[in-house]
Amino acid sequence: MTAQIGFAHAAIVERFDCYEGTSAKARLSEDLYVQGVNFYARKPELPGKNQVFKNSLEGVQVDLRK
Amino acid sequence: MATTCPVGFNVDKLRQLVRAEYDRAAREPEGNFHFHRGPQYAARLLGYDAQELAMIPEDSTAAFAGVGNPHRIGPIEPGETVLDVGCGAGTDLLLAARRTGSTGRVIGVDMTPAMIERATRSALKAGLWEYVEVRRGRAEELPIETESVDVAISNGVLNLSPDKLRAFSEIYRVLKPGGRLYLADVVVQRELSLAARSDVDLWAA
Repeated sequence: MTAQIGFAHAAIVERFDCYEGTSAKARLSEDLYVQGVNFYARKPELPGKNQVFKNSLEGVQVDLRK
Repeated sequence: MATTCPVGFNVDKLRQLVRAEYDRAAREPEGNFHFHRGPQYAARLLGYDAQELAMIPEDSTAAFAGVGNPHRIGPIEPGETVLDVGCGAGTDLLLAARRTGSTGRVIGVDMTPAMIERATRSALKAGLWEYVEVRRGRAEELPIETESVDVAISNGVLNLSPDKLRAFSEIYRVLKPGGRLYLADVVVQRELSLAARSDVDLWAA
């Protein structure tokens, strides 16, 4: 969906068991496996501008000009 | 995967239920809820720094009900403009303000008056009011200028939206070119049934 709108570099970067021990977890089907996630996406720069993308969780800098 | 509610779904009722639930969370954070709240939960399950949370007024942290941690996704630099979509009582909002500093700007948007009141009170108590503001509004219609935001954060909000495509489109609109989205929210491993998606009570559960 985010790509459809125009976002780039969209990715789930971390997951959490935010409903551990709650009544919500008991109410929802176990096989839905509801979990919290951290999700990153970026709006593209203006056309023609070089882009350098930093993945802050991995500490890796990726130069998209290459 | 469905991103909107079924045809004929009572969107107004959903909004009322969500507003009522989070209004209650704002007024009685110690009450009985189906979701975790508070700073101990944020530190234990979501990786928030307990010492950093201790610097945020309890008006905010006691009613924290996030599902992830947007501050672990990427940096917020001094001087940046940050938008918190569905800022609630303001925990993530004020953490962002600590990162932008007084040369930046932090705007929270929420549709629950009691949460807005808490976030505003906390911003005043924390001495951050000069560059923090909270506006009433919805994710599907953000009261924010186009291409004015460097970073949009949100925590446990968009899953409650009856039109997620519209909400994401609004976030895209307000972000500057090159702007970043740090989103924390809930996901499921498989498509919900039409019956489940048609149950307003289950949406707000």
